[in-house]
Amino acid sequence: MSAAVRLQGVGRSYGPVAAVRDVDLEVGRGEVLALLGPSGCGKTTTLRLIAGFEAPDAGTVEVGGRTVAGPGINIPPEKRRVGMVFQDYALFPHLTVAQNVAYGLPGAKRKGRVEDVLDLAHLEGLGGRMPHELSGGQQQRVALARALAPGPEVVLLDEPFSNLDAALRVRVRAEMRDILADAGATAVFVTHDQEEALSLADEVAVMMDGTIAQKAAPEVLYHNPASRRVAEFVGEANFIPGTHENGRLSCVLGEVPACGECTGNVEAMLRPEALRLRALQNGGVTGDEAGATVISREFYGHDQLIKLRLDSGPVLCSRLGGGPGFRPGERVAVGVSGPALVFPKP
Amino acid sequence: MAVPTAARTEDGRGAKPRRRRPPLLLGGLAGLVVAAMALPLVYLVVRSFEGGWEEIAEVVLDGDTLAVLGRSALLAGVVTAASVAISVPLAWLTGRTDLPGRRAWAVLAALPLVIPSYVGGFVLVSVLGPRGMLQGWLEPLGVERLPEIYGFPGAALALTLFSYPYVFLTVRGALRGMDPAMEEAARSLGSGAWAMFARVTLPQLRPGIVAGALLVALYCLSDFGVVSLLQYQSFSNEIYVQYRSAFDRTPAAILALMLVALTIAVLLVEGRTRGRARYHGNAASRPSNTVVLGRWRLPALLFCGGVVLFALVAPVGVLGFWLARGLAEGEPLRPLWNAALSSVYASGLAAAVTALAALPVAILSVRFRGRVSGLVEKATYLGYALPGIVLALSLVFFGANYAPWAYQTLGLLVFAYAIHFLPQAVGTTRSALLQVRPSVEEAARGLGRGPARVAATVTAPLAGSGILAGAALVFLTTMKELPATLLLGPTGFETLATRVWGATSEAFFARAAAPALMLIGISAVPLYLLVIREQAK
Amino acid sequence: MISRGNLVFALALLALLAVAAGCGQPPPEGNNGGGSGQESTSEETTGDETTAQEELKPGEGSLVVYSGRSEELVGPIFEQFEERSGVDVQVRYGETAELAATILEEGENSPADLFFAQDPGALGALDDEGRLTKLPEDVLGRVPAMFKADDGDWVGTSGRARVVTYNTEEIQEDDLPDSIFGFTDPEWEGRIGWAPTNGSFQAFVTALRVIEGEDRAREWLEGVQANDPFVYPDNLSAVEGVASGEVQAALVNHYYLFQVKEEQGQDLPAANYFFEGGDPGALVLAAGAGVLDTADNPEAGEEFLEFALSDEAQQYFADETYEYPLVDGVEVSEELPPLTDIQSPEVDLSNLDDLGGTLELLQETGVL
Repeated sequence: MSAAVRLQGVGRSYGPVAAVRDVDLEVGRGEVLALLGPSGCGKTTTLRLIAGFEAPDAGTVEVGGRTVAGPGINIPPEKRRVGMVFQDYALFPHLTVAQNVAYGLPGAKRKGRVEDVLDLAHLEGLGGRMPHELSGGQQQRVALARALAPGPEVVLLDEPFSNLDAALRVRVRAEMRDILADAGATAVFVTHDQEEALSLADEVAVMMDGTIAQKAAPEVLYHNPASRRVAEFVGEANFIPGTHENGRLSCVLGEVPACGECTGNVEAMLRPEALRLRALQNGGVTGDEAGATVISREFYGHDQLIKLRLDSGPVLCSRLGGGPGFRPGERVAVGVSGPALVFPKP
Repeated sequence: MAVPTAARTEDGRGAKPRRRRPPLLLGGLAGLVVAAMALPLVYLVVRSFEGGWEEIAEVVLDGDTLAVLGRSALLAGVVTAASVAISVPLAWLTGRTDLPGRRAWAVLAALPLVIPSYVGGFVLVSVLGPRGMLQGWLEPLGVERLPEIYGFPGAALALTLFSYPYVFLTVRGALRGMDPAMEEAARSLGSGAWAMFARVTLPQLRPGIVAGALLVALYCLSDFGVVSLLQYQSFSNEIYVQYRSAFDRTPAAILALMLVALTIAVLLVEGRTRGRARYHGNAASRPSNTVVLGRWRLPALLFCGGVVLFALVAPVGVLGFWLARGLAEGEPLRPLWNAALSSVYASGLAAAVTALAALPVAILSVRFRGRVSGLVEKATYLGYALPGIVLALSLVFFGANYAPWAYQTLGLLVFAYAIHFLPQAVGTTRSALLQVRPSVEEAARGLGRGPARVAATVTAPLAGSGILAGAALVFLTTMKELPATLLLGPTGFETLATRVWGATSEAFFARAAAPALMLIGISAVPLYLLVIREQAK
Repeated sequence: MISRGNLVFALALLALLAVAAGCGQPPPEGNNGGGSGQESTSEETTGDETTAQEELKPGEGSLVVYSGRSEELVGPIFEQFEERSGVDVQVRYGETAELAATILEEGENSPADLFFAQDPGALGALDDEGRLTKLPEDVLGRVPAMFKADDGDWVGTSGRARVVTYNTEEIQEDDLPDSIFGFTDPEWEGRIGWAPTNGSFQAFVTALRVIEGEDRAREWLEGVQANDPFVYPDNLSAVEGVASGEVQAALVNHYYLFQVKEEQGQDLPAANYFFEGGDPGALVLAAGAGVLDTADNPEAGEEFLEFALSDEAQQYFADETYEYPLVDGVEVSEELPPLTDIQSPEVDLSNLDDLGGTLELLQETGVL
């Protein structure tokens, strides 16, 4: 089964600066891929390379098994069968919703298809409205419907949720995932929000400095980040020094099972969920604990993030459930409840 | 640490420096337009070199020539400054305050644009001149002689009064496109109204001011009607004298080339001061706050009233007076319908052709920025700054000798109009295109439409009203055009402008007044539409 | 409802079609009967009868005229000619100098047959470039030698005399000086007026430079300027100024007096004074015309000139525009001395083309 999108060795530079270099990527049919990375990492450029609004300096781009960009080839965007949803939706302000959706459709089968797609996107009955009469979430769905209507090989979404307010975001995300699933569409979306990427995508590709640092399923990415930078970017990460020998890590928090290749002096990463806290009143710490003082507490309702400073110095954060938790200034004992991941010392 | 360019391109909101090459069709069309602009220049170069380098040196290095250069530059500078000084307050008063009747004031303030300079100058001399009306009224009061109107003061006054609306219109447009949030931020940080205006509003208006100022400055260089009537020895006057005196076209051509050089200098200055016109957020997400004038209301009204009085009421009034006097004395007035129809027809064609020709240049300049597209856009101004007689003779030369089938046809005349007035259409089309976000066009591309279809079905409708505004501006400017019409129009082709000229050349005031009033009346219609369409948004 | 996009397209298409239509009109041709039927200057004149006051051979084809004289003044002459001869006359009106430059630029492709100029400098310039053809003797013979080209390439059609129009109530004719140089005398301070922007005045100054030399001309200008003359924007206002007594004398062309009399009444206290003895102040300028070497229809051009110099047409100039007929035997107003009586200075009118030098002088002396 050929991939919906394949990039091989793709590079794009602006003057002396390489926005994208040596990117290899594959998106299977029906898959949702997230391109995740900080600002300036090249993810939007990659998207635009797939869409055809930029031409690569190196490498090839294939869409639907067909080479659309490469040495000597550059097929213009309108011929690539790639749909795009822009950050600002880019709806045609002078056309109705139905006309917007119909724009990419050839004459004959228009009407029926438009209605089907509007239903799919939960926009029944809104066909006659003008874009400025709709709410932000509705506009976004129109943009998606419009991109989906012609049945493209892949739908590209550029930071699709950044224009929505936080409360709306979660709901709209879920809706979008359903719509894409119902349509059986292949999608690539770009975001700098790791929560979004992890929750929506089948696979996440983390981009940094113009190249792909790691591409994996969300759980793999979260629990087995390929590098320290990826680890820090995808979720909160705690780092403590230690020594690693045969799958065991010796550190201030005691002896902990660990995975990772490097041995000797290492930096060990522990996710906040892997730390457990116990109030330290009069008793001391046991062998596989360390003493710490709570610095701050962020309560989210369903969980909370406790920031604390170990007596030996490093600042860690721990994620606990929604219970009473600990207040700043309290003394706690910190222990490890999960395996650590080791990285070479920087 | 230097931020790599890539970082900035990641920001979806900011303008991305797209270094794409434009499609061949677009580049080709724009190239054709530039080639058309180049025709008069080729003519000038050919004529200039007929006398060899010695003659060129003789003319260029002549002290008198340099004095003329200085006078032209001085006139352009002063008129531009005065126009800006009038227009910015006018635009602000009619656009941002609670001035009573501001919509009407806005239309009235823009109307002087329809008055031809040769009519305006004439009226000015009649009113303020040594034997003029004002002198007549003041004589009983013991005023023997008014200050000299001829020369620099009169020319500067006349040009300012009838060309300041260029700046007024562009500043008005700029005010509408401004984001009120910045002014609100300034106020919240403690700026008083004046300080806010000077430090926040004015800098944002700069691109608009500069665009209008450029039109005014270059118009001053090219105008002949005013400077000849008011006897100011500027370039265009000097060129005309050369034609009139020695019938030798070589010195005239050399002078015209010097004028072109002056124009290029002006364009360079403008390029520096333009600032960077970025994609405006589509016309303010929120309407701006209206400033309450309070006790400033009366001075503001006086100001607006004064400008309108001198620039509009006086000329129209004088014309009406002449007409009435002529009718009372039984002056035979020939029917004007023929001339009026010809005027409207020719101007309409010119407007359509020029708007079309402006499209590739504007699209190139906005969507495919770069040095080349910038140069193309600047090149369109060269035809604008040339005095009409020079442009006309260049096309006489080419038409009669290389394209006799087109010579003295309406087609060639419309072509001349297009070359002459292209920047007006390019400017407004550019502004209109800047309002269309590129993401909308890209979305259309992604949906399978090629660049031409996208331009037609998405860009044109969205930028449509701006493009039509450019056409309206070209229409009313063409209505008053004279030298090219006289020389290049089909023999026997009469417009209202030529009728006015025919009468004024013999001092037949009443016979000049009727076509002049009709010209003004007809031109006022598109101008009115142009001014109020922005309010409808 | 038409969408905006379609509307723009439609307009564009219409524009292109119209331009194509415009280009499709052929330029006026010489030898076809009847021109291209566009707006001809001849409006519907009354009646089809030709009152043959003078015999005209029925002409052929069309005549293309470039006229620096305005339609208001000479339009009727063209209409008359068209009616009489059957030649279709197409006139392009413009400024004399611009039209001359146009003819030169057009070169051998010029569509013009006849060039009608307000002043002979332009004719002289065209002649120098060899663009005019020699006119037939019977045309040339009708005007005095001063009002035609030496080589017979152009001929004057009507004359304009420089005069002093003075207020008869304030001064007598004897009070006026014998020579134009008399006005530099301080006794004339504040009593004279002129219109230095007027073309005829400038032509006069050019003649002064040619006849008397640059220095004398400068002397005269400075002398008069020292007498603080009233500056008028044009000759008409100057004569009105004389009539109202604002000034006692003004340096103008002869015919304005008649125009003002027509407007204000024949009992106006003003009259014309002509200098004598070949004084430069008595300069007579002429409007004139010539047939171009590139004419498609030179016969029609010559025929028109015959008509323009016919008694009838010359009478028109005398009666309607008050200019001087150049042809013998045509009656002028009794208030005007006959042309032959005017002792105008000897000067070749086609040499009066150094306007640039004149303007420089005027500026230097502060007159302009």
